[in-house]
Amino acid sequence: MAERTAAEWRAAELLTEVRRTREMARAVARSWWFPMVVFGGIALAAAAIDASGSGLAIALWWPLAAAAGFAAVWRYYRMRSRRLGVGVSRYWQPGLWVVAMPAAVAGGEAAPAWLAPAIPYAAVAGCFLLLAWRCRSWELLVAAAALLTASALAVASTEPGVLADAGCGLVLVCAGLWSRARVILP
Amino acid sequence: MSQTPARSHPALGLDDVVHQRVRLALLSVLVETGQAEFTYLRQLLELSDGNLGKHLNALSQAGYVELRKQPAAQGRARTWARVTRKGRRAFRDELTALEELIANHRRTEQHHDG
Repeated sequence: MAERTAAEWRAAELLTEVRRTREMARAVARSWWFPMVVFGGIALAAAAIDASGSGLAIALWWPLAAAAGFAAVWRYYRMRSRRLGVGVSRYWQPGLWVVAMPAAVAGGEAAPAWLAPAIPYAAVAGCFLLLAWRCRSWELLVAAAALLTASALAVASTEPGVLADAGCGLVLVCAGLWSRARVILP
Repeated sequence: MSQTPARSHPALGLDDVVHQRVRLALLSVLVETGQAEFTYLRQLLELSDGNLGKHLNALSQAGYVELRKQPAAQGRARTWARVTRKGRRAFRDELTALEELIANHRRTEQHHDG
């Protein structure tokens, strides 16, 4: 059997250490729980508005709430970055949500009637999948799978608007709180 | 008849500035988080002020890291380190060279076994 040279041993050690350090840094940078809870809350409120049957209110709700949600998330990341002394990817995470939410609403409007209820779930699930890949997170992957399952169930539902918003909101809030419990702070 | 050029040893691809335990750890954190403050890095990597400052300066001189002082309303100014594009590339290349070194060993081992 070939003996490892000193350089090869050192390479293996360094790679192990790099992996460990990256995992530590990633654990601290995990802070997507806040946007999940904020936008989950927005979706739950949308379900209540949908149930009241006011078309104008729901049309106004999404753009206003999404803008307010984005501002809250931006402020949260800014404060967190200052407090911890570490960059926490302030821009791309809320950016994803801002893209996903209007895409969910617009897609829901444009899609065929039978498919429309699945679009909000699918848009947010896509967002989760991207985050899961970027953050190497099993939690987000599980949340994305739950949302895709909900998406399939929504297609079969008779009260699509309310169920889609409520289901999406609940999954986001629960996933956010679960993620919050796992955040490691230095 | 032309000969196939000998494959250069992967160790030759290692960057002297980055091929150091602390500097590699610093780049690992900065690549993951984008930027980090001096105190955070010192605590995370369990380094002394002097040791961390020395390694950050070496990375900064190589253009791999940018150092920025943030004035504080009270107390000491905070120093932030941010990885540059060149730093990200150097980090990626270093990991590739390290992985290549290990793969090289595996190839040799298989050759001996076979």
